[in-house]
Amino acid sequence: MSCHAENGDRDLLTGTRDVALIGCPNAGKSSLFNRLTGLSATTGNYPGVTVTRSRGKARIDGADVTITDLPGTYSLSAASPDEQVVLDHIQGRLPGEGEFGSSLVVMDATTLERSMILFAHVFELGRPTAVVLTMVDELRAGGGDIDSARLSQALGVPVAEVVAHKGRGVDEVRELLGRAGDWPTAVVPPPTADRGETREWIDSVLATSGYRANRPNATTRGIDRILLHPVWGVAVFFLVMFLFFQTIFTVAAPAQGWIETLFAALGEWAGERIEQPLVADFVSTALIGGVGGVLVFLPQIALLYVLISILESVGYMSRAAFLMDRVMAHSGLDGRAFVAMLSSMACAVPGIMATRTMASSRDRIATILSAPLMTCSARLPVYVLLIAMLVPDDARFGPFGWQGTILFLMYVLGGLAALTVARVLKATILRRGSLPFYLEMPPYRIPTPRQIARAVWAPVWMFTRKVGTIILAATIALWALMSFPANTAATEGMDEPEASAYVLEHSIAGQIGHVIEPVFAPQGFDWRIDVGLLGSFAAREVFVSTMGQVVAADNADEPADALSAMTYTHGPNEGEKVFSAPTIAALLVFFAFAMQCVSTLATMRRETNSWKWPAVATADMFVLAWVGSWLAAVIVRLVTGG
Amino acid sequence: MDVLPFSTATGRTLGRSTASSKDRATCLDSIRPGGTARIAGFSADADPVLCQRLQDLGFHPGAEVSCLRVAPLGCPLMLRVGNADLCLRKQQARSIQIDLVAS
Ligand SMILES: Nc1nc2c(ncn2[C@@H]2O[C@H](COP(=O)(O)OP(=O)(O)O)[C@@H](O)[C@H]2O)c(=O)[nH]1
Ligand SMILES: [Mg+2]
Repeated sequence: MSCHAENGDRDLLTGTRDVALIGCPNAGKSSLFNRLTGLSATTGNYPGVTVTRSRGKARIDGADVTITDLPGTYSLSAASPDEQVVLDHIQGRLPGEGEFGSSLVVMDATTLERSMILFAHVFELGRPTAVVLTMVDELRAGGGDIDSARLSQALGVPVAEVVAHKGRGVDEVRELLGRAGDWPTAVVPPPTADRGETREWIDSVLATSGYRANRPNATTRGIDRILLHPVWGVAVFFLVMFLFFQTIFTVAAPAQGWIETLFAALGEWAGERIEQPLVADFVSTALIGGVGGVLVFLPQIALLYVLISILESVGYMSRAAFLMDRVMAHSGLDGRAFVAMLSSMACAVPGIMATRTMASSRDRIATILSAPLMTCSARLPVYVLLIAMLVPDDARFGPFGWQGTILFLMYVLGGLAALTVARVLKATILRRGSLPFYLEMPPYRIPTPRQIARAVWAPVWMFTRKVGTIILAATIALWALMSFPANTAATEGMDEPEASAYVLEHSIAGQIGHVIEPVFAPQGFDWRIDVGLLGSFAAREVFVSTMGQVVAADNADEPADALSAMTYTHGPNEGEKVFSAPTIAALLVFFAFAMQCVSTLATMRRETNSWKWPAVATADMFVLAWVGSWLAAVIVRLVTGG
Repeated sequence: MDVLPFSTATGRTLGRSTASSKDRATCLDSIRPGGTARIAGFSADADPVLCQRLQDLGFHPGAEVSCLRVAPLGCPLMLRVGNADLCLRKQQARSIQIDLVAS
């Protein structure tokens, strides 16, 4: 696989044959692509835009044919950036790309009329063209029919029939690909200038080829009557989402726990065997901790992808989008963004990766930028620590505990913030180039295990290889900030918590904390909290242990008592408690809004193909976090009369 | 080829406003679940890009559309057109003019 990394694309292009798969969304392009290219495929982005492209090689008669799986499109009118990419690709206008070869138009036989419009436009471009008819199994099962030999005659191009996801008929396609350069080009192109004429042409082609459309799928109709029912459908939807979440927390969370325990033990084991304390700390904390910090995401990503790809290929995702569209419309997004947002409540990393299934790249960016505001599970330990310091656990109002209520409100706050940010983005920088809303409802289908395995493997591998390196580098950098200068002479004879607190205070991170103290003074944060915030960039939950270290708590992972006793060491409030109600409230809000997560940033960078969007997200979330936490502090100060 | 491979259809070829003279002409957003309609054209103030796209999807003048259901909160509509099931928001459906066939 390694030989086809992004920069290997050029080698692929020097081959003589280069074929693009063009078709409507859901026509079966990716299924066919996967069958043809096997594991040689790489998925990346087109240069400069957030449009996914997959390329791979098919080995045919000892020669390689480069295959590109283009984004699905209903026409070539380029109403969105995604469709622009398709058009640019076919016309060979993409920067740094070679001349474009041949077009293989993938047509869904059950909606042939619609695919013919696309075919007409593609054929007119004058490239060698051939057609693959997919879904012929569904067509015939539903009482429909087509004579593909006559269709081939009527269109003037070769036509192959396949059942793409099962691989039936793929050999015939391979044979076609072997002579891709010799596919016919349009002599008299189909009429496209006038819609009426195009339709007449389509009608006559369909009549010539004995096309009979299939009946609507009765099973699908029956299932839809329940799953889209105003009452039962909504009930099933919530049940599915509930189970979705339960699975992630009951299956992935323990696996994550094991990985954490394993790497903690490994780090300790390695640390004990290295004499030099600084090297020992580097190996155990930065290196082993960093690798563990990458691997810990894998169970969650893999499981989310198993679930998402099952829901997607079964056809339930479109149903969920149908049910949720009205709610999501408030955010300027559509129903398809719902699952990405929901996944982000487990972790923004898989949530952002789940946006791949969204059709519009504008909506995709809006979702990617707002998803990190959803309350992810890494915020939970921080919230638990802070809320416990804010209100005692027996504080109640009516039948409800205050602690649980505040935690719930934090989730609501995250959700509302995400929807609001998406809405603002869609109304401002992402306004133009949006497609009108439409959503296709495919019939229910049973996915093949191979399909699911592929859908899971690709993101897991991508994450480990591309995102993992950034996370590891950032973990090491943060470790260095907190460990240098080492001050070994000064800490001689101190006990362990005291020594590490001393090192941290005099480290680069500690100095940064002192320098930026004025920035967060209105919120009541002192330099030690600022150091904790810096540490939390590696992962939000690291805040807890960094605070433990900074106050030299006996048990760095449970620092609540030591923190409660912490007082300002200088300034106007010297001697007063740092963790007062206003400060804690401000911290809670800060954690809800701030973009403190290198893993999310690395994933954003990877998925949007630029540093621009991670930078935008960091900036807008910082503004939100600063203003929000300041307001929280001011309001709580007023309420408590402090 | 350096220009778009097809010229943008004008209002005339879109069949816009052809239905305005008929009394029974209404917009697609008023279709009831179970109802069937024939598309007459597009409303004059509809976004041309949207009209093109709707036609690409199968909502062309003369096409038969039936409404399968409406989402629980009243939007979007689930429609059958050109042998496919598609959902449109009411806002988009409003730009399509129809003749009711049966309901
Ligand atoms: N019955 C049937 N299903 C297919 C066929 N080809 C693809 N599918 C299914 O249709 C869905 C969409 O296919 P996909 O390859 O993702 O379409 P794409 O959007 O064009 O890439 C998947 O669930 C496939 O399993 C086919 O020939 N017959
Ligand atoms: Mg695809």
